[in-house]
Amino acid sequence: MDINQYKQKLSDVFQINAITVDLDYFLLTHKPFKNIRMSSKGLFLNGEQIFHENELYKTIMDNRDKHQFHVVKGDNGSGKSHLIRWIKENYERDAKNEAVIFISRMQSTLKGALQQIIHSEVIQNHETANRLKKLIDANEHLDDKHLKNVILAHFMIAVKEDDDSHNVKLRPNKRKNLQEFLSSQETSELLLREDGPIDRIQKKLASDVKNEVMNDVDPHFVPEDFYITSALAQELKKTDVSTRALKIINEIQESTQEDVQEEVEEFRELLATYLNQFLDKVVQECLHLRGTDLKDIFTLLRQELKKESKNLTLFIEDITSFTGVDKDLVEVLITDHKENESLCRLISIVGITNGYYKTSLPGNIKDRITSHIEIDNVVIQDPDECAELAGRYINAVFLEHKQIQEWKNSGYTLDEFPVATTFKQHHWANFKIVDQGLELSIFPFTKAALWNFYSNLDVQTPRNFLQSVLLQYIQKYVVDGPKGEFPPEIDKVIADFKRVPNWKNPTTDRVLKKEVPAHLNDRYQTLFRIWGNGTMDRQFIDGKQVVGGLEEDVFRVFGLSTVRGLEVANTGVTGITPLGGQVKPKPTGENEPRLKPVDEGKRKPPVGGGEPTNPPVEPPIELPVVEVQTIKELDEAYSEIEQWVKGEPLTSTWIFGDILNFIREYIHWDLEGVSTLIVKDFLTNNYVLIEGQTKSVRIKEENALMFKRSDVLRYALEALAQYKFEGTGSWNFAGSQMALLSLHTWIEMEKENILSFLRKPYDYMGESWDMDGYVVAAEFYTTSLMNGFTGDEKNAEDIYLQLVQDKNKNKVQQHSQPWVTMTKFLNLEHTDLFRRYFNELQGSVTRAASASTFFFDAYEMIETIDRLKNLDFKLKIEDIPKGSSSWYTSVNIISSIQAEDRLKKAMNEEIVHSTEVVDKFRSILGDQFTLENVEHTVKEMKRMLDYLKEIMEPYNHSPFDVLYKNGLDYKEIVEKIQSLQDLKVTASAMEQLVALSNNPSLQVLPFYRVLDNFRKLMDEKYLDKKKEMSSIKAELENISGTQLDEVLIDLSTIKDFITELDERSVNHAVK
Amino acid sequence: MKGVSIMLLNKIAETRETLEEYRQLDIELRQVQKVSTFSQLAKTELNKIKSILASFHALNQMDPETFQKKKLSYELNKLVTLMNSGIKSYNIEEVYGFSKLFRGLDDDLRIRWSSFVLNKNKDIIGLLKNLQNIVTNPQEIKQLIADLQTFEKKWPVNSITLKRYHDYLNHANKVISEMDVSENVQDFITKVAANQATLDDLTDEVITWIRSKQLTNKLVIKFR
Repeated sequence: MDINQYKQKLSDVFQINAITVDLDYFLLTHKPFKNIRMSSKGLFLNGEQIFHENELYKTIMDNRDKHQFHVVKGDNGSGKSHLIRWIKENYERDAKNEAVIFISRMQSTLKGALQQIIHSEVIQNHETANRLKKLIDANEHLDDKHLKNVILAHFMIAVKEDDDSHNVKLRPNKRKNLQEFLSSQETSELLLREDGPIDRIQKKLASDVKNEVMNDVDPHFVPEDFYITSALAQELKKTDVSTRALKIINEIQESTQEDVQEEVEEFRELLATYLNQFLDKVVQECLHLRGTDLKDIFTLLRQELKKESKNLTLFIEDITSFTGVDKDLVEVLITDHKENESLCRLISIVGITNGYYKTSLPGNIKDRITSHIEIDNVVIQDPDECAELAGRYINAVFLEHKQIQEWKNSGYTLDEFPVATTFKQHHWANFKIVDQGLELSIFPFTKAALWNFYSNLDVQTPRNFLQSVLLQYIQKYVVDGPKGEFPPEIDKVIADFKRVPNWKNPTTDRVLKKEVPAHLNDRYQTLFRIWGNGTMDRQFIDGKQVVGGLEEDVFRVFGLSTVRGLEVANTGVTGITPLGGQVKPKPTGENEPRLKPVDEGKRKPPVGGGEPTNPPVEPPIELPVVEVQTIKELDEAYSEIEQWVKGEPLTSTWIFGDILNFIREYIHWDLEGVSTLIVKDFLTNNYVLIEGQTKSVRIKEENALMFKRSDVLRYALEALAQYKFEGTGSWNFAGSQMALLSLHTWIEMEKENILSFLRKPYDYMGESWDMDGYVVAAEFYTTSLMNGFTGDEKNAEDIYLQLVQDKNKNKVQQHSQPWVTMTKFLNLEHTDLFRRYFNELQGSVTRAASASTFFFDAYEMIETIDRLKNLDFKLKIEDIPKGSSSWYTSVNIISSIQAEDRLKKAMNEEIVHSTEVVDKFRSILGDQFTLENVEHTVKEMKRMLDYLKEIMEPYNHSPFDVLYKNGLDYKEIVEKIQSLQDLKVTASAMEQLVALSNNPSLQVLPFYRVLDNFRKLMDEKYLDKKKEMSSIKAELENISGTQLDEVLIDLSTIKDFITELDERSVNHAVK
Repeated sequence: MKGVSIMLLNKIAETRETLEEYRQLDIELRQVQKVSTFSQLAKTELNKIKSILASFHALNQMDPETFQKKKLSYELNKLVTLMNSGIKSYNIEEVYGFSKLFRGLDDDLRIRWSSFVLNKNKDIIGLLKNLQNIVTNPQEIKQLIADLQTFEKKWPVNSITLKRYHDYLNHANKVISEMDVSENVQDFITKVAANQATLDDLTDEVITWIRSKQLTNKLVIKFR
């Protein structure tokens, strides 16, 4: 077989889409499912059970007369299709009098699914054929190249016609905007783009791309579909895009403001969810197909089969192939023939992804599922299963056509299972499938290599393993093997997989460098780290040399020379289990590798098949052996330690620093319940010493933590010396495992001693030191006195949330003088101490005092708060000695606050003040403070002020502006007043303290001032007006009411004069 | 509300009631003040008219020829309109408009009265002025002249004023007649007053009159 033939073979075998795989290869590569999780509520079992595929199959067959609807659940690539195909192959063989329809994923499109129904034998032979016409029409319609535009247009219409009957709603105005967005030329392009939502839906209905498998295409809108950068938004705004579409753009474009961006993301999600509601409708409209059509066809089919005394079984690899009519299809599947006697029995086995199950399968349907067959992480569960799957595929690749034909002719019997022999001679690559008595070659891999590849995959599914590992690396072997370039260099493998196993001991890297030429180093690394066990340990197993878990043939076959490796102390003892390969040493002789170096011309395999050509190898390269040098400083350190253990003093200072560092990093302080802050402060040079060390401590020696002279400590110190001088500050040196073991042993022995030293102060003799309690209590007092509580904190969780907050001392001044005086006893740094004390420090203990990010075990802190709450935060501290170290910071605060009844006095003062405030309110508002009453009063006040404005009665309105600006939270005010009222009768000092913390009387004072000003205003207006009315009345009395009469009299007089002086009177007189 | 927030709510209600009461009272006061102001202004204005008409009436009574009655039907109509609407709407402008109608009459009467008095005073005051240098009671004559001259500017007038003027006129005539002055004596007195009298002017008649009136020591002789 030449390279091209191998490639063709690989293509045939690795057609990952199960349906397109030839039955021969399907059966050759089928690895039985051994641990299928089946859960059911009724029919077969109640609960959950693990089945082998044979047992699963038997269960289905044994219940063949019953209605069954099985859901095969798993992520993409987990093997759903493979299992369904396997059941189907067996079922077709075993089940008699049965109509079977198998709907494979094909291209995983609706078009593909409909075609399969149309062309299925069962349908073609029945009357239902006519009924299929509609489906066929729909099928033809799918070829319309304008389908994408049609889909978009239908979404637009669906939005336009939305009658608010869907769960997710958009306001009419937004609906119109969205409608414009969908129809506007400029914006619709965003949705029609390649891999955009409409493109995906169109592909899922009828992909034009041949052989493109649409398994991973999501035919729904997702929020990311509406992602628009602000730059693109600006571009769009320059176009003729409509105003309404622009509004949508404004709402979905990226923003740099965090709160706006949050809204943007929410709106994108809303749009996606909203539009997805119309997906079924749109698809059905586009295809001129109603969901009920599909339902009718199956109903008719079941009726006809019933008449023929036949039953129907449906195998559907992927429900999403039926996008748009999937829900109607499921309706068909749940209908039990016992509910409708005209129907035949129906068994259906349907592949569903976990995502679809969660989001798209209606709850009522879920209840009617006969069983859930879960196959995630079932196919490959351990290195053996990984090797078995690989072995079957590799075997299929290297089998001769003739062998396959013979097996087919035998009826695919297990006894005749064909085995490729191409690489049989490489025993290390032979893998036994015990339960089938088979031995298959996994050449060119070792079992370790396969498992290392698989376990470092991002997506650990069989499909991904087959594609990314097997297919790719067999191809690489076929292509690069002959050139001596397989396995690839470690960098290339890292480029493929991102993650690969490292050396078990990083210093091995150094050893390898010494042993192999630089240009081969990276390939050796691949061998040792991936094919091997991550070491260069040299062992002799059954008389055969194995380096890093790899026998000599492995190196040879890949054109490399064997390396010397590192001698393991217990040579020949089976203490180290090699991870790589099936190392099965056999006597040399007949199984010696046959591979010999050949020149390029001879490497070409014979044309037209024949015996497979074994990939040739490069001649082995002889490598020099490198001596390891001794280190002077290390020897000196060893010498000093040896003297010390004999009773001499220990003078080297580095030892102590390193041992403390190591202890700090070794012990999981969080798990041991010791704060890293305490570790940082007290696991130091000042408090700890090694017996015989020539240094002093800050405290009396008997109080210090002393590490006793012992052999165990000696080995630990020697290990530290290696760490310092051999590893130059790292554990990268040969034999570091032993060194670490020594150190580990000593620390484990000393651990309890160290922990008990750090659990209470060295000078405290009692047994009830409660550091957690002291720190929490002191912080509680600090928080209370520094206005840290809002007053609403009733439970421990609420209190916890305030304790961890920053405190602001500026507000304290507004409290009463005794309260302010109390705060002088606080330590303003205590909040920092509190946080650091409880910080679950990430990283080095040395950062305990400087870390700027805190991780708290809230549960633990809340438990402490709850405990202290039960004590009303009164801790017994009488027997605690005075101290100034961080052990005592919290205790000192508690002690000062509780002394001389200071706290009580301060609280009493505050309560008196609070009572006065309540009385003030009462004097204005009466006795009952309910929100309803307060709001009514405020409403009346505003009405009154409006009236004053209306009658142009002057007043200073600035004190009342707050009523119109919604500047007062009446609910909060009422609560505060009520809590002020309750204060006097509250028995718990803790509750009083929390309630008083934020100076509740101060909080309500603004409202009181408004009320008081208003009352004064009313008084002023009332009195003023009463007074003015008196003067008006007096004035009215003084104004003569006869003035107008006098005017009339004057006019009358004037009239008399005029009448007399008018010349007519003369005339009259003359006359 | 169930007996809560009573205190402030009550205060609000009480204040509102007071404010409304005050507002009503205030409106009432303003109305009254408006009428009062109007009445005062109207009265002032009407008094002026009354005064003019009273002068007219008195002068007409005194001398119907010199101070003849006039055609006043227009003014009468206006007066009726004023009484029917202007007063009721307290429109002071209408009152002013009506008052304006009498300004011409007032000016006319004042001028005619002034020239009437000047004319009457002219001869009598001239005689009295000549006499005052030679009579024994010149102060009395001087006062009389001043009194008569007062009426030249006096305005408005009424029947009492007119009567008083006539009384002064009568008194002046009486003083002159009591001096018993012939025409020749009058010429002599006139020349003396103008410092032009000579011995030639001392006629017997004049000397007799001087002696009879015991005015000899009132005369001196000097060279020019």
